[in-house]
Amino acid sequence: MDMKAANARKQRVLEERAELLARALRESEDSGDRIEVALCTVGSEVFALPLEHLREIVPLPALTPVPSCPDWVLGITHVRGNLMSVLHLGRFCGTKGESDPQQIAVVEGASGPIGLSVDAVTSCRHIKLSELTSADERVGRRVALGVTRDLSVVLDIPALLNLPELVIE
Amino acid sequence: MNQDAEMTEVVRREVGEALDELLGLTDKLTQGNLPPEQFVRDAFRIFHNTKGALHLGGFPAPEKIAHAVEDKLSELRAAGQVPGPDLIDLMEQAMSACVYAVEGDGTHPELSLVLNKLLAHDHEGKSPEPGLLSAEVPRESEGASPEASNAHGTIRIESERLDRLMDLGSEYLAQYSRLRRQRGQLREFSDRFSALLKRDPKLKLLLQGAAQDFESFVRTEEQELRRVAQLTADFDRAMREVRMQPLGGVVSQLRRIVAESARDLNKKAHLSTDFGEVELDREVLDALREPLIHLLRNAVDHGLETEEERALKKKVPRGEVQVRARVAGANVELLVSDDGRGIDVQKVKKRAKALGLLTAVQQENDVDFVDRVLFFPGLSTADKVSNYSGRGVGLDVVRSRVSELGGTVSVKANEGAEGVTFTLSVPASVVSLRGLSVTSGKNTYVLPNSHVERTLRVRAEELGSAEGSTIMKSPEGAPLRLRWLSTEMRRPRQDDPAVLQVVVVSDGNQRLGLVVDEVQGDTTYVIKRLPWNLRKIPGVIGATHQGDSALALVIDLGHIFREQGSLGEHRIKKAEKQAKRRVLVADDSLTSRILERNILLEAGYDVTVQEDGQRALAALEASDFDLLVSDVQMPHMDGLELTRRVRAHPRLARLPIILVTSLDRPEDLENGAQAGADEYIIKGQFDQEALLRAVSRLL
Repeated sequence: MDMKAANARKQRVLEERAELLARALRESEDSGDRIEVALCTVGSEVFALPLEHLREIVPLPALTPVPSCPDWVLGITHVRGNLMSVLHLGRFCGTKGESDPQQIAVVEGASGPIGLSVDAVTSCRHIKLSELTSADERVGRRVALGVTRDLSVVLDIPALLNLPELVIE
Repeated sequence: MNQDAEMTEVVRREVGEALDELLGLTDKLTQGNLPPEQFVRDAFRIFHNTKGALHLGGFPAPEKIAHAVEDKLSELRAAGQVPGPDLIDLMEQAMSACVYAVEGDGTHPELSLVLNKLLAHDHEGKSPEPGLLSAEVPRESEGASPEASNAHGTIRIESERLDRLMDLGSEYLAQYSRLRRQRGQLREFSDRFSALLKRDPKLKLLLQGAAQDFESFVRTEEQELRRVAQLTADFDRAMREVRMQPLGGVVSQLRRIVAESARDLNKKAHLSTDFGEVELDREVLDALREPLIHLLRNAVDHGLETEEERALKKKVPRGEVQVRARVAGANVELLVSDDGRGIDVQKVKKRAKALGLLTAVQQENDVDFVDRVLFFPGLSTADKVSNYSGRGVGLDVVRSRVSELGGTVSVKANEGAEGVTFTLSVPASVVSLRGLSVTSGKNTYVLPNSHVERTLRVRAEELGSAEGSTIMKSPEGAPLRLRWLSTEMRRPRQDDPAVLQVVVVSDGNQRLGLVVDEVQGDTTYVIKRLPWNLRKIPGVIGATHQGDSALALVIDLGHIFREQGSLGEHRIKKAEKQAKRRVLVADDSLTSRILERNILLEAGYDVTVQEDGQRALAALEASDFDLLVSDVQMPHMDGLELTRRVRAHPRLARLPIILVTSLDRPEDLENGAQAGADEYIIKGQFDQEALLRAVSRLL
C-alpha cells in the first residue's frame, strides 16, 4: 500500500473523529452547568452533594470503631455486602454546631465507596454551577465546588476522595 | 511420583492447555469474533505464562522460544500493531514445538527451526484499520476469551470471577451463622413455653395441642438446620478446595533460590523438600513465597558454613537445607531447617543488649530467649552486610508477613544435630477461619485460633506487677504479662470487674494474657479486608460479619507482641505532656544515682537524689514527692526498711515505690513486696525502658 496515501487517510479520519468528540464535549458542558444535588444538613451547615457521585443514602447503620483513626472516622460498616469506612462529615469539615449523624451518604470513588455521615437530607434540587461563588471563607473549602446563593456548600466529591489524609496510616 | 516428575507433569499440562487456548484464539480472530488488539493482549499473556512454566520446569530451549514470541508480541503491542497471518502461523508453530519438546526430554528439532524463523521475522505487523474498531465485534465474545476448557479436565477461570463466588460464599456463611443463632433462640423459647405450661395444669390442658404442634415444628426446624449445617460445611470445604494448590509447584523456585545463594556465597548447598500431599490456599501460598525465600537465603548465608569450615568440623562438605510441610489441624506447618552452625546465642545476646531488648522478665533459658529476640526488627548478627541477609531486615519481615496471614513463626535448635529449624505455621485457607469471639466495651472482636491457647479467669486481687506491666500467675506457675484488649484497640478502658476474663495468646514464642469483657465462644469467620482507606491500620487483619448487624474486627495478635518493643517510646512521649512530677531517687552508688537521674530527667521528671535511706526519708517528710525510686542495699537504712517506714508514715503511706537492686534473687522480690513496694527492677538488666515504664505506670 502507498504509505503516503494511507497516512493522509488516517489523518483525515482522526481529524473527523476529533471534531465529533469536541462537539459532544461542548454540548455536555452546556448542559453540565445544571447539576442535581441532595441538600443535607450537618450541624448548622447545609451541604449539597451532587447526585452524580451519590450511590445511595441510608439510615446510619451499626458502626464498628477502628483503632488508630482520627475522630472524623466513625468506623466501618457494611452496606449491601460492601465494606466501607464512614466519615463524620461535620468533624472532617469543621462545621459549626453539633452534628448528629442520622444517615450516611454513600459516595463512590475510584478506590471504592465511602460513607459520609449527615444529619438529615432535606431535598433534592437543580443548581447552576455558573452561579456558585467561591467557598474561600467557608467550611470545607478544600473540598467545595463553591457556595450557592443560599449558602449551601457544594461538595466536590472526587476532590474529597482524593485527599491524601483520607488514607489512614 | 517424585517432585521433579510431578513438576514436569504440571508443566506439560500447562503448555498443552496453552496451545489449546492459543488455537482457540486464532480461530476466533480469523472468524472476526475477536478484536485484534485483544488477541495480542491474550496471546502475550499465554506466552508469558508459558515462558514462566517452562522456566520453572527447567526447559531452557522451549523457554527461549516462548520468550522470543513474547518479545515479538510486546513490540507489536507497544507499536499499536496487530500480527499478520505469517506471524500468527509462526506463533502456533512455536507453541506446538514447545509442546513436542516438553513431551520429550526438553529438546526437539522443530525448536531451532522455529526460533530461526522468529528471529528472521521482522516487523511486518499491520496497523489496525481506523474503521475497524472493537465496536463491530459482538459483545458476547468479550470476556469469554480468558477461559478455555480443554481435553485435560481442568478449566481456567478468571480470578475475579472466582473471587466473586468467594464473596457470595462468605455472605452465605454469615447468613448461616445468623440463622444458627436464631435456632438457639427458638429452642430457648420453646423450652420456656413448655416450662410455663408445666406450672399450670389448666393452661396445659387448654394449650396442649398447640404446644405439641409447636414442639414438633421446632424439632423439624432443628432437623432441617442440621441438614443445612452439613451442606454448609460441605460447601465451605468445596469453596476452600477450589482455591487449593499443591505446594509441590514451588519446589523448583525454592531450589533455584538455594542454588543461586550458594553459588554467590561460594558455599555448597542442597535443598531437599518433603511436601507430601499438602495443599495451601493460593493466596496463602503467594504470601508465603517471600518469607520462604528469606528463610532459605538466611539458611545458606547465616546457617551453612563454608566448605573449609565444614571440613574442620568433619561435616560433609555440602550443606543440607530442608523444607518440609505437614498438616497440623487447620494449619499447615512449614519447617525450614539447615545443618549449619546454628545460632550463636552469645552474639545474639550482645546485639539484643545493645538494642535494649534485654529485660529481666526476658531472661529465661537461652533457647527461649533467642526465640524471642531473633524476630525483632534490626536484629541481625551478620558481621557484614551481604547481598542476601544481614541487613537487619529479614526475620522481622518474615514474622510480620506470616502474622498478617494469621500465622506464627518460631525457631529452635535442632535436637541432637547441628543447625536450626524455623517453623512457620499458617492457616491452610484464608477463606473461612476459626477463631474466638470476644467482647470488649460495646464491641465484638475475633481472635484467630492460631494464636489462642486457652481462656481463664483471674481475681483482680491476684494481679501483680513487674517492670511496668500487670502480671498474673499462669496455671503453669510462670508470670503472664497482661494486656487489655480495650487499650490495644484504643478504646476507653472500663473499671475492671472483681474477676477478669483472660485469653492466653501466643505468637509461637511468647505468651501474654489479653483481658476481655466476655468470651462468646468459638466461631467460624470469613475475613474481609478493611476498606481501601484503612488498609494500613496496624493490629487489625480485617473485619468479619458475626451475624449481628455490626462488623467484628479480626485482631492481628502477632502485632500486639511486636508492639511491645515500641511501647516504651510511646509512654515517654506521654510523660512529656504531663506536668512535671517529682521523683526522689535513693541510691548509695554514685553511678546508679546519676544514671537514674539522667534517665528520669530526660523523660521530663523533676528529680532529687539522696544517698541513703535515712536522708531519703527526711527528704520525703520535708517535701512533696510523687514517687520514690530506691536501691535495696544502702548504708544506714536499706531500701526495704525505707519502704516499711514510708508505708507506716501517715502522710506518705500511699507514695508509689520502685525498688532497684543489683541482687537478682527471687527472695528479694518477695521481701520487697512484703515491705510494700509497688515495683521492682533488677539493676543487672537495668534499662531505661523498664524504669520509665514502671514510673509512668505508677504516676
